[in-house]
Amino acid sequence: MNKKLKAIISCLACVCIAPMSLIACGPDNSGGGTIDEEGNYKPRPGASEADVKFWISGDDTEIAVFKTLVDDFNALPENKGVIKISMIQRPSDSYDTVLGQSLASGTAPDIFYVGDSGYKDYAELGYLYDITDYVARSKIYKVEDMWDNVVTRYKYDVNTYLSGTDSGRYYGVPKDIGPTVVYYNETYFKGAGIEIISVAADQLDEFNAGTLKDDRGKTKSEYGISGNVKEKGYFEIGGKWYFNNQVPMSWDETVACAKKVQSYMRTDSSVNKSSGYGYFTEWWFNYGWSVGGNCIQQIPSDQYDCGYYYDFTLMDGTPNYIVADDVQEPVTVNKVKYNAGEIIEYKDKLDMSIYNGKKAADGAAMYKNSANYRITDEVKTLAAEGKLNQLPSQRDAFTEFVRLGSKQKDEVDNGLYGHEVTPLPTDIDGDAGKVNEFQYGNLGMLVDGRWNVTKFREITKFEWDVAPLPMYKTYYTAADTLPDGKEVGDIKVHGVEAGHSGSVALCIGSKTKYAPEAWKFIEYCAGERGQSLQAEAGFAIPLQKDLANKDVFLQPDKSPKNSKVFIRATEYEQAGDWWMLKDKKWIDEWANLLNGSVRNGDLTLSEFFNSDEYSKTFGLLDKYTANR
Amino acid sequence: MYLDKVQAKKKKHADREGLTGFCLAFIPVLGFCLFGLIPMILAIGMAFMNIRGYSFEGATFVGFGNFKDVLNDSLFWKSIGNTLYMSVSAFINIVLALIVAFLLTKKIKGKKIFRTIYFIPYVCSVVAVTLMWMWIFNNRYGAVNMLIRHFGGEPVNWLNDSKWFIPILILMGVWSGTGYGIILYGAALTNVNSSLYEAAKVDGANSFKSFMHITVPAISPTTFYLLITGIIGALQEFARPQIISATGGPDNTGVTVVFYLYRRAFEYFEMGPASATAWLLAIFILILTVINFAVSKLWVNYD
Repeated sequence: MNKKLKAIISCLACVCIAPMSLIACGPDNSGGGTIDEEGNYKPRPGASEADVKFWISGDDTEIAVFKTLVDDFNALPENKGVIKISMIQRPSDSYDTVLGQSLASGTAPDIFYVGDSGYKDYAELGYLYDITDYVARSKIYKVEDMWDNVVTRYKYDVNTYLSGTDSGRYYGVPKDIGPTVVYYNETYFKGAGIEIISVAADQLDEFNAGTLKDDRGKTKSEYGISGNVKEKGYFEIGGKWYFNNQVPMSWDETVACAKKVQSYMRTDSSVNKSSGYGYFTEWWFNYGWSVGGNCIQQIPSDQYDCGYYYDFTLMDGTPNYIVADDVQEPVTVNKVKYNAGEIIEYKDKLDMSIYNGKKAADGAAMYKNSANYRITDEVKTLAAEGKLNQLPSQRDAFTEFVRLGSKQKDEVDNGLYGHEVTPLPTDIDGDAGKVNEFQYGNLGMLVDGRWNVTKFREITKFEWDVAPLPMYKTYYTAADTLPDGKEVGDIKVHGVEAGHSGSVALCIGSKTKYAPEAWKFIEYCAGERGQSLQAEAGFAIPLQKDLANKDVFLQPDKSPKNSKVFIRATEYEQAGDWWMLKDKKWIDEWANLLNGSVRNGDLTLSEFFNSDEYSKTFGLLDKYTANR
Repeated sequence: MYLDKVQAKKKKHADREGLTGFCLAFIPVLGFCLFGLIPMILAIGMAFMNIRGYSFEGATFVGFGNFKDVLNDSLFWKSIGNTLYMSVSAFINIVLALIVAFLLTKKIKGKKIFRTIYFIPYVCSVVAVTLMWMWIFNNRYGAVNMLIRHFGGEPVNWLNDSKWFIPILILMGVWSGTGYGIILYGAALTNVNSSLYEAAKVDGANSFKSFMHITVPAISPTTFYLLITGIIGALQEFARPQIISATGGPDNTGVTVVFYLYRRAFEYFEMGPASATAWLLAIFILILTVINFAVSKLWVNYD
C-alpha cells in the first residue's frame, strides 16, 4: 500500500475516534423541574425542553398504544417545549439483559419497563429512582382506587426484602396487570360434546329455579338440563357433559375435561391433531396456593437478626387446614384469628417450639424434613371439632400438578402415575410457543395471562373464551353422611381460588436528571387516559378498579365474553415465586431438575425430594437472611 | 554533505513510517486495552471483593472468599463436568476432519464444491444453526422424532432429557466445526512431500502404513493447532446451550463454566464469584495448554 495512503488512513481513523471523547461536553440547560406538594409539575424557569428517553418492548399492539400515549403526552399544551418523551423500541428477547447492563453502566434511559423478576434486585442495587414522594403527592395515581395486591407489590423494602410492608418504598408503578385464567377452545368443547353454560356460583339457585338466564342468555330448561346444577366447573347431568365457565373446576374435573377434549382432538377426523393436548399450564402456583401451600415459608426465629428464616417447603408433606364455612366466630390458632374460608398459615399449624425458634447445629438438614414438625394439638382439636377442614399438603398439590404432564406409564410418586394431558413446558418453546399452540388449535385449554387477548382476537378458525383457574374441591357422594341442607354433589371441602398475575413496572433510572419529568409521563400512563388505551387494546386490565368494571375494559362486543373472570382473578392473584425473594437464584437448580428428569419420568418426586439440588436450596435460602 | 542529506531524509522517512505504524497499531491496541486488558485487571480486583452489581461503591475485600464460594458450589463442578463432556466434540472434529480431508485428496469430481459444502456450517450463525437443530430434535414436531414415529418407535425428548442434551450439543459442534479442520488439513495434506510416499511404496509399505507413518506425523503441527484451539473453544462453550435452554437445560446439563459465570454475573449480579470463575477457567485453560505443549514435543513433528 502506498505509504501516503497509509498515513492518511491512520490519521482519518484517529480523527474519527478523537471526537468521541468530546461527546457530552456541550452545555445542557434542560430539566431541573420539581413536583410540588400538590403533585403538580413546576418546570425550572429558563430551562430548555427535557428530552426524556423511554425504552419499551412488546408486540405491535402495545407499541402502537404507547406511541399514541407518547404523542398525546407530548402534544399536551403544558408539555410543549417543556417535556418531550422519546420512545425507543428495544427487542423483547434481549430486553432484560440489555437493560441490566445499561443500568449497571449508568447508561440506562430515563424511563423503562422492569419485569417482576428484576425489580427487587434493581431496587436493592440502587438503580431505580425512589418515587414514593411522587406517589404520595399524586392526584392521578391514587393507590386507594387501585388493585391493592398489584400496586403494593411494588412497595418494597430493600433492607428486609419484603413487599407491601409499611417500611417499603415505591420504585415503580405497574404498567398493567395480567391475571392468569384458563383460555379454552370453545369449538373443541362443543365438538367433544361439552355444553358450555355461564352461571356464577351465587346465582346457581336462581338458575336452577328457572328464574334466571345465564350470561349466555339461556335458562336451564333451554339448555335441556334435567337435574340441579351444582357448583362444579365440569359435570355430567343426564348423560350429557357441561362446562360452567364461571365456576372453577376441581383438580379431578380438570383432568377429566382435558382428557375428553384431548381425545376428541386426536381422534376426530375434522380436527386431526394427533399430538394435541387437552390442557397446558406451566405454573404450579394455583395448585399449591389453593390448599395453602407454598414453596418457601417464613419461619420466625430469634437466631436471625431479621427475626426469621426461610424454609423450603415445596415438598412439605403436612396437611393444611381451612376454617369451615359454617363457623360463625373466628377461630384462634397460635394466637392468630382466622375467619371462615381462611387457611391456617404454615407457622401456625405446626409446632415450631420443638426447635425453640432456633436452627439445629446441622442447619439445613434439620428443617428439610417437614415430618420433624408436628401439627399442633390445637389444630388437631379444632379439626376434630369440625371447625377446621383438612386440605391436601403442598406436596400432594405439587404432585397433582406434575401428574398433569407426566406420561401414564411413569410413576410420579408413591404409586401415582401421570395423567398425560399437558405437553411438557420444554416442548412448548416459551411464551410465544404456548400462544401459538393455542392459536393453531393444538391445545384445548391454556393457562395464561390477560396479555394474550390481543393475539387471540385474531383467531378466526375457532371460538374461544376464558374460565377461572382450577381449585381444590371435593364433593359429597352417596357414601357420605350428608349434613343438614347438603345434597350429593354439593361441595364438601374446598381450598381457595389462587393463582398468579404478571405485572411489569414502569420505573425511572436513579441516575436520570429528569425524574420529575419522567414521573409526569408515568403518571399519565397510569392515569385514566393511559389505562383506557391499554384496556381498549385488550392486553391489560386497568389499574383503577372502577375503570376495570366499565365497558372500556369489558368490551361486551369482543372476545372474551367472560371478561369478568379476569377481574375476579385480579382480586386474589399474586406475584409468582420469582418475586418472593430479591432474585431467583434459589429456584434455578431445583427447577431444572424438576423440568428435566422428574418431568421425563426418570425421577420420582421422592427422589427429587432427596436430590442434591433440592437439599442445596436450604443453604441458598439461608443466604437471604444472613448479613442483614 | 550529501550523505548527511540522505541520512536526514532516511531518518525523516523512518520517523514517518514509525508514526504510520504507531497510528495503525494504536486502534487494535486501544481496543485490546479497553475490552481486554482493563476488564482483566478489573476482574482480578473483583475476584477478591464482595461487590453487588457492577459498581465498586461499597465493595469490601473478602480475600479468597469468592474462590471458596465458587469451589464449594456443586453447580460449578457440574458445569466443569458438562464442559469437559461437551469438549469431546473437539476430538471428534479432528478425527472426522482428517478422514474427510484425506478422502478429498483423492481424485474425485467436484472436490472444491465438497470443500465449500463442508465449510458452510462453520461460517453459519451459531444462533441460526442452533435453532435449526432445535427444530430437528423438537420433541413433538422434529424431523428425527417424526422418523422414529414413522418406523413405530417411541419418540425421545432429546432436548429435555439430560441423557441426550450433551450428545446433541456434541453433534451440533461436530457438524459446525468439522469444516474448518477439513480446510486446514486439506492444505496440510497437499504440503506433504510426495517423495516420502514413493520411497515408502518402494519399501513395501501399504496405504495404511504410509498414512500412519508419513501423513500423520507430517500434518501433526496442524493437528496440534486444531487440538489447542478446539479445546480452548470447547472450554468456552456458552452460546449453544444458552440458546437451547436459557435456564440451563434439563438437570442443569446445559450449564457450562461460561454459562455459570454468565448467570452469576448478569442474572444474579454477583461480579465477585463471576470474576473468580473467570480466573479459575483461565488458569485451567492455561494449565491444559501448557500440558499440551509439553506433551506435543513427543508427537508433533515440525521437520
